[in-house]
Amino acid sequence: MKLRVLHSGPGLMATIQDLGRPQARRYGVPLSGAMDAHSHAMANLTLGNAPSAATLECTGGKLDAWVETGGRLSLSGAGGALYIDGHPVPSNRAIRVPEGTLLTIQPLPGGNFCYLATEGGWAAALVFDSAATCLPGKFGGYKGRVLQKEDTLTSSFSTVSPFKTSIEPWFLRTDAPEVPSPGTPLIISVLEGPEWNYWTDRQQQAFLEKPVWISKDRSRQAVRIRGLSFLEHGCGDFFSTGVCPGTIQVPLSDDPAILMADAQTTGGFPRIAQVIAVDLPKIAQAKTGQLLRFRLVDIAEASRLLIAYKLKLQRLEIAVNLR
Amino acid sequence: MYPKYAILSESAVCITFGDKPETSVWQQVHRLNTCLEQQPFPGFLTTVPAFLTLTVHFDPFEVFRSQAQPNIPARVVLEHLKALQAGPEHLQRLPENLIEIPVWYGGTFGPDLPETAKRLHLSEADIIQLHSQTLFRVWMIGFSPGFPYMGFLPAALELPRKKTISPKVPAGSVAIAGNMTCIYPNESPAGWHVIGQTPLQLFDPHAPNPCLLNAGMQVRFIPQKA
Repeated sequence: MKLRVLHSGPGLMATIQDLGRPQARRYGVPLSGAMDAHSHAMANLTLGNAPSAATLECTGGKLDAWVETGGRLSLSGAGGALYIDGHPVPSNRAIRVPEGTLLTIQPLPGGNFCYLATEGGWAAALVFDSAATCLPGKFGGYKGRVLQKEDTLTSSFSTVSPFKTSIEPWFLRTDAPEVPSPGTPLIISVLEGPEWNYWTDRQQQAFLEKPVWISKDRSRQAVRIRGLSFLEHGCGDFFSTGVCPGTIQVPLSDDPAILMADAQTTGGFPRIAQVIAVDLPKIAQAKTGQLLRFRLVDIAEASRLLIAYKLKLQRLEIAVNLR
Repeated sequence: MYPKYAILSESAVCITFGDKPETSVWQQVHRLNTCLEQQPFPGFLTTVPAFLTLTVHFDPFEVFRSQAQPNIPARVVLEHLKALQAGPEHLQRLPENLIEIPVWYGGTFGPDLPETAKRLHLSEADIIQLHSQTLFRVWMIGFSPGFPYMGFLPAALELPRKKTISPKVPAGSVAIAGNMTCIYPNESPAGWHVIGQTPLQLFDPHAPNPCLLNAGMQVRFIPQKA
């Protein structure tokens, strides 16, 4: 499989991503990896790839690419739809795409991100054992940057395994992402952050009850949340400490932020709460203005949900590879 | 009261050793870090030592699978850390190596130097002299790849962060804020006052030791003639 980028629409940000580089955090290196790790994994699993194979994350605009060498692809994620020579192609399915066709990824209003997987993953040199693009550090992925016109991508596998076929849609039906309505609060489960008790009982209660919404200030580093001005605090004397994707930091004079994939490894603001791992893809896909409601869970519940999710992914992987 | 053990996420815990950065706190952070490197648990990924805290990152699924009974990974890790903490005392030695960092101060290299001088009621030469005469220690690496927090500045150089963040400063920018000095390893936005620039590369993702500076090292800035 080989693609050549013909045109990238205004606002498009296309980067190679995988599950990131957790072990490089000691050097101040962000985790990086897919913003919506669930859709990234689905695109891979439908092709029979490991969930960690590198995919192309697209957001914010239209991508046109020329298929220079044919092969199999799969697209997942609420933020985009795949077209081959102008014909719509279903998501979450392995599609054989012939040489000499035009591939288009068109943004969809229901989300922000989509993931294009290819057999074996897109080829990229590994930095700290990961193919993910680290935009803040300008390394990894495709030359450490977003894709531009004339860039070419190739899959790691040159040969096609005839045994791996697509998952039937019924298999994935329960996983189909619900497209949230912006006016109905999206329920997001959170753990108490290490500084939860910096705030009074009344502020904690308001944090869990007041409607809050996604700001237009969104990036791969952080998604800001509006409607939380009642969390104002005078705590200027806070020493930088460890944070990770999902941490909700409350700065002194700005909206609180949910840290995302490219977040820094340490932060200098109190950590009120932590979005649980299985809910973080919902934040990645939530549009500006989306209402949210935080729900407090304990570490037992959050861990149970995460382990159940990982076991489900493993079962899917086994099911695909047995077909 | 200390250490305080907290759960950060399903895959990270954070241990706090004190309420202000001082050598004894630093030594405790790094003592536990060393113990953990010597006796890691299944699923251990990495640590992020900071001023007061050690954050431990792990793969919760690996931790879960390492247990005979179903257990909550973060609690398993906290138990491991408490056991290490209760182990034999040893004093974490402070590294003795000293790195000299050449700096071009002022002019186009330190665009914030004139404003900094005005706000501190000092001359530019005073700032350069005070900054380059101070022996700094790297307290932690964080914020961005290879970014060192170095302290402490003499009281005469203490200044709050900038009100307006500079959208772009070049790699190697040497800056001050609060009682700390730093070097921006990559071109990036900056909230600290940039007083100079070093030609040294602070971070190379392909090198065996990716960071020029590591926590604990001593640093002195050497003024260069333009």
